[in-house]
Amino acid sequence: MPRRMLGVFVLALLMEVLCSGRAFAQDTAQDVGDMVRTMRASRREGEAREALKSMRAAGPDVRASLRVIGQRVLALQDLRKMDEAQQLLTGLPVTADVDLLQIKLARLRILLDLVDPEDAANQIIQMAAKHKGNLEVVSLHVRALIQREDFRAAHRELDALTGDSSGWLRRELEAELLAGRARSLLADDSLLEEAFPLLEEALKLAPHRGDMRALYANALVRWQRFDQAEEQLQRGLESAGVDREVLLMGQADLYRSTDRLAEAIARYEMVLAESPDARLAQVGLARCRSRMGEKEEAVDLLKICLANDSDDLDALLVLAEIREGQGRIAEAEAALRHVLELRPNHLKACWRLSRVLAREGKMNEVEELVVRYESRRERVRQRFEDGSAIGR
Amino acid sequence: MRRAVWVGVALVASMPAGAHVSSSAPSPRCAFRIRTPEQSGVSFRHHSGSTGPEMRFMIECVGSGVGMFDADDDGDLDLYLVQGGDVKPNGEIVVGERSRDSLYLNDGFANFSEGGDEVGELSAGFGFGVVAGDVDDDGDEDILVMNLGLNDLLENRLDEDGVARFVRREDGGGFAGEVTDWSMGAALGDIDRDGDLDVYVANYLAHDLSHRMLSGSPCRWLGCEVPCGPEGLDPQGDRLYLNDGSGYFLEITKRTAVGKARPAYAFQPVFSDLDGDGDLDLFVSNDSMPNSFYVNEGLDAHGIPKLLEQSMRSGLALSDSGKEQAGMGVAVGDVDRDGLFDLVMTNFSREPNALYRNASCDASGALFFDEAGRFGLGRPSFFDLGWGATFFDVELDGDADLFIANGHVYPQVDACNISQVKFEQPDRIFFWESGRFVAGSLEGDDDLADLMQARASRGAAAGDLDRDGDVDVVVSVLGGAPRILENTSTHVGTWVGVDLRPVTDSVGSRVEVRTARSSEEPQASWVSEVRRGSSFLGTEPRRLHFGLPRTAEKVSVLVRWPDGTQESWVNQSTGQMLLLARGSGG
Repeated sequence: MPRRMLGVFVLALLMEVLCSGRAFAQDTAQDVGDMVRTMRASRREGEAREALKSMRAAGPDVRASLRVIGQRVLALQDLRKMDEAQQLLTGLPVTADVDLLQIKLARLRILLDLVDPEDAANQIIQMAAKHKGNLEVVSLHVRALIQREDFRAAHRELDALTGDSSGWLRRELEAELLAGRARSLLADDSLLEEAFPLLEEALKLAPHRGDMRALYANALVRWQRFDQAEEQLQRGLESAGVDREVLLMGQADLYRSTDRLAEAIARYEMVLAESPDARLAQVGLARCRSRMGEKEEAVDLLKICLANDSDDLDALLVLAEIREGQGRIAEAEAALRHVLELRPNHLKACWRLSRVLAREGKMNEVEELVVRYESRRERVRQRFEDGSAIGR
Repeated sequence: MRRAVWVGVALVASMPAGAHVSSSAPSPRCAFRIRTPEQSGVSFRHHSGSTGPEMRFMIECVGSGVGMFDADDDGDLDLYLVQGGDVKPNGEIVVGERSRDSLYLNDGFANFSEGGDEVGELSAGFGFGVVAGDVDDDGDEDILVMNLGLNDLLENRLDEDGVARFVRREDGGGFAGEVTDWSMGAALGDIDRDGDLDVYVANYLAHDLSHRMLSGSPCRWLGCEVPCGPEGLDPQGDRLYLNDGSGYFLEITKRTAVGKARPAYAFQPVFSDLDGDGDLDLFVSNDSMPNSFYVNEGLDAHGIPKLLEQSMRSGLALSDSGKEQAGMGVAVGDVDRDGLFDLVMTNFSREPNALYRNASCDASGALFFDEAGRFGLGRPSFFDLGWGATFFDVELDGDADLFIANGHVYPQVDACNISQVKFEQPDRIFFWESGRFVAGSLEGDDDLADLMQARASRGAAAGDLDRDGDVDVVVSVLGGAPRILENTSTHVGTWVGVDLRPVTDSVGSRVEVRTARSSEEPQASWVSEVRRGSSFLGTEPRRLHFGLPRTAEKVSVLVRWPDGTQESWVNQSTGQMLLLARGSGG
């Protein structure tokens, strides 16, 4: 069925729902849910938007249907509107009905992307064993494995996907797997070069993925190919939809790292105009302001981030840096201690805290931190040296 | 020739302070002019080992340091230039006439003549570093040359007529190392405080041609095919030797913390009293690995120095964000004028040069903070690949400025379309202005055009070559001719030089120059230290040079000798080199 026809059909169904009784509405909601799922499955953001529009147009009974809500949350997630998706989920009552697979998947996706990847991965792996063959589950399972950097297992899972119906999904997931491996390599400068063929292959499979293009551009920046990075970002932006924000962020970061601060600020502000809660843009903007000597303006921006999320690691780290530079050591110390509470293995925070404590003359604690830092650093080094993090 | 020295000094001394300053030219002009080989007489050309535009082995990429010292003790600065050599396609080095080092003797006005057979036997190894010092305590400076293979000790047999003749010690003077060593820089200092100069040799990596990465096939860096290393190749341990008092060295590496340290790709060691307790500590810049820092804790029961590795604790191991950097050259100076020695370490591109500000005190021990950003060095040096580094006061305004030699490691980068990276890069001068460094630029005038010509620079040494009261610079160039940069800046203020005698005792001495307190001016002071071995694989003048404000017509000089005793000389006129013999002060 042509996609436009599909949209019209969904709308027609919704109109029917609006004019019918509750029992009928439940049946129809199931149909709507299924149709929307099919539209989402095309992995074209136009369809995801259309599906959302359809669902918004539905009557209250249909909108309240868990099946529709589940699809709506998943569609929002497809469009990377994670906060909106999370809000929708948070508003759901805790009842047995909420056991619905879509809702579970949506919740796990948020857990995986935003909250606790390790816990999410464990739950998803258990779920995958029960729902073999369900493409949504397989897809999330592969993503969980990628997130865990268990690339071999992700490969195995992908190999199990067969048939024409899963061709789009397979391509998408293969691209995500390649990008995941590249991301892992990008964590170490000495392995940077090995990330490029993976990213190029990923973009061949999924040229529409602005997030991957932004990752590629980021790697090019680190490879010191600024012109090429800018070209990639520009190219991505010309056809960007859901990934516009990440591409704009890529531009902003590129400009910041090449001292084009005014242009960087303009891009961060564009991102913030479109997504006022984009915390990385807020932090990037703060970094620019700080570099320009506008320390208090920078701190104000960071405070906004921290008011939204007091555990924002990036904001805390930049705040610590600014406060240390200003000699407000206690505030720097507090911010770094907070980072280490959240991420006890955060290497940079560990080192920075040791330096901040050294300024305060707390040398015993400095010595403890240095020992911790060295042993963690060694573990990271070994992990990369034995290749286990790369999936080679 | 010795007599000629002091006549020369007297001439300089007779010039009024700030003689170059025109009363109608209030704004200072900072300028350098290249002295061409024809003008300077320095015809040296470095042989990197590469025969074409590309390089295949790390040994071809490093280049060598500059030795600037008074070889014939005639009061002016001579140049010892370390030669590389040839490298066969399979990576074997060829030593011979093309690897022979050169000694250029100064006539006192920066006109040099190359020493021939009369200067004796210079090193002919595939060389990298040079350090000069009076290791046999006979009053003249000997030369130690660091090679790929055995190192050389050239004993100076300066005769009564002031003719320097060097004799290469067949036994290597005990510090030759192993034939497999690839030695880079060295530093001399009396680490056990027994009155003679000990030596620390920084070793880089094993140029072992059986290693799979040294087959001649390239490795890749940022998409470019480049010589392999250092990462992936085996780092070598450094060596520490004590002088037996006769100029013969006994290795004690394994009896100290140096022998217990993880081998690293070391470039430049520096002896300096970094924790301010009066004895010499040791900092070593390491490439792509944490730096080393050994605090001197006195002697053990066997008379061996007790060295405590404190790089992590002190903050000297890593950058401010906790990353190991490609530590190359090291400059030591009191940047913030608090009486403690700070360190600048040059790094790879995309690593700002580090400025480790010294905050040591009794309570905390040795303590440093990388504050390159705060002091203006961070962003301007971000894309540069730095090597030699040295502090001196360009325009004699009383502030130490900073010179840094730059150039990329790999010529191949030019063909790789990497943004903001070229093999040949401009050297930089950072002027100290209002509490931070400001990078000199070519905008507005071309006074710095000669200094900022792009080259593959490596070593750098600063000293007053033409004895006009200001400090000139010599920069070694990988595979090219050294650049001799004559300082032609307007003298804003004045200067004073300090030449401590005896020569051996001067090394490691801390010198403080103080102006007198007056109703208009508070007392000000500047500190420095006599070091042998610094910058990048080089040695800088033993005689210290202080730029001073114009009002400083008289100064007092306080010297703390390496054994801890102190002496002072008061009411000394500026605008001259002061010859201060131990025991002649108050």
